[in-house]
Amino acid sequence: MKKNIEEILQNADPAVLDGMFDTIKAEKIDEKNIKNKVLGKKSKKNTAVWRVLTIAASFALIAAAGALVIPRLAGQGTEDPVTTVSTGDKSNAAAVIKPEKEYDSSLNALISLKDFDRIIWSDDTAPAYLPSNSEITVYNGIRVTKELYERLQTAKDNDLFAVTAKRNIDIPEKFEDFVYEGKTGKEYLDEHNRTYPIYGALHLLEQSADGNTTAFENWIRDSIIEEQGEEFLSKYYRDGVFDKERIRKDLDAARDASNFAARAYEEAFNAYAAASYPRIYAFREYNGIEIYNGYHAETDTHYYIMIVTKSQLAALKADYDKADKHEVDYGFDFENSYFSLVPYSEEDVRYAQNGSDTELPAIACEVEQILETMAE
Amino acid sequence: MEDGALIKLCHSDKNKGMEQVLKKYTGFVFAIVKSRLCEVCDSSEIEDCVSDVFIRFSESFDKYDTQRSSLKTYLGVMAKNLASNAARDKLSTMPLDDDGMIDVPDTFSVEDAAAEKELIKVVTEQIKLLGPPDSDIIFRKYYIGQSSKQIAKELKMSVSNVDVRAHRAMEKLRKILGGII
Repeated sequence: MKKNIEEILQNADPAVLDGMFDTIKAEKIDEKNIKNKVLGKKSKKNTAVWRVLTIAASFALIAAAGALVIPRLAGQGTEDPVTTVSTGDKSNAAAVIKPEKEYDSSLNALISLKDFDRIIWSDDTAPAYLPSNSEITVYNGIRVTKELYERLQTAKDNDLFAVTAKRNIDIPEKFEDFVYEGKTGKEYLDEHNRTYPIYGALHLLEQSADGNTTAFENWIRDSIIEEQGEEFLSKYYRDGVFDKERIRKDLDAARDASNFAARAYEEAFNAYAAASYPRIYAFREYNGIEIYNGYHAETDTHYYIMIVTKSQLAALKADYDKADKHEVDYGFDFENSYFSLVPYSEEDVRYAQNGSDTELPAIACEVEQILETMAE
Repeated sequence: MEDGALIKLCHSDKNKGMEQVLKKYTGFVFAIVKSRLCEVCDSSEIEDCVSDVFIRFSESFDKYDTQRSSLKTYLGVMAKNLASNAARDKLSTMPLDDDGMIDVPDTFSVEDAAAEKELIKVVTEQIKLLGPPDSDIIFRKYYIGQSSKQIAKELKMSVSNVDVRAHRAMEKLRKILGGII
């Protein structure tokens, strides 16, 4: 009988798999939205855009409830979710009633209303996460690029803009040039790329030295020579004999070096991201403006996008200033930030041209989805 | 905050504890769920599934034992299983990757809990013994369901290198397991 690894491990106890998730990196997501769902809090939603989205989402939810939500809930039952995967039996699906969700603020809902077609994007082809070379000017108390300023001059009050915010302090355009604790981003990346394969090679050598010589002769030797060179291999394997002591000694050092480099790289990148992108989802919390995750696939870079009307943008500073700020974490630094339009990228958003007003278009996930649901 | 302290906080003040759990693990759980669901669900369904993981955890954190696994592993397994359920509900049949197949003797039946447990233990041990990056690649590709592209990006390798290594590692795994199970 043939079985897939996933099938074999589907009922695995976490204790057996302990440590195997350690290298899985967290992805950026606005945890506020999840937090609200889990802890049952609702954020303030009172804008015109929000009301429009709510109507759209109601239709989407009615259509989706039977097909999506009920079967999902049916699988939950009383099983222990840690060690049990449902068998896919949907026979009890009809008996399950969908709980509390009141609305759906995903971009899908926005697109379903054809509002997506109304969004004004940048003509600039440069990725949205890069600082703009454009001249910065002031519009109703906020700093904006000249392109955004000019588009605002001719826009109607309810025209929608896709906008992001960037720092105009001295942050390099690329992570590679960013200096964190005396080293550039490129140095962190190079160190990570250098140490990880050495650890992998030594681990394979240790396995081979402990008896798995068939695999060594078949492919491990060749792959180590290909990646690390013959000189590297000759330090640990000469005349058909493994230097076990040296392998073990160097393996421990390589493991430490690899872990250290990976952590340092991640820390440096997080510092760069924090320095580069103002937390514009402050505006969702205080002003009810829709904020989505933007994503540039080529560089694996996240940023935030506000879908905002001209009226909201015009009143942004004033509304923000008078808003009841109860969470200091989400402050926005107007002094050192400016707003610019986001370029629409076919690579980032795959907009299904299905010709239907009611069918929800797909957002390409595999190609790296850009605008993710942020608010509830 | 360490896992033990998080759980202690969950017991003393569930909301505060869950806030800390969410703060620490939302991105990680999202990564697991997205890997499994990105081809079959839209972003709001993915988000729902991530929320489900934490809701389930908030209802059952007393079952979690810090001595048996890290909280990251516990939530990772929970996220993977709930995402698999969601994917299965969306698709009438789940496509299984032929490359991830292993010959398993009929004696290892899922109805025989002890035999199944033994099979899981043996397969997991052998995957771990592949060593990095191969163990990482096999676990990500065939258990979590990450694409080669995603694995390549995270492990800083080329996509073709990931595929070649996955293929070789599976061959190796089949050979080793053939002599054990």
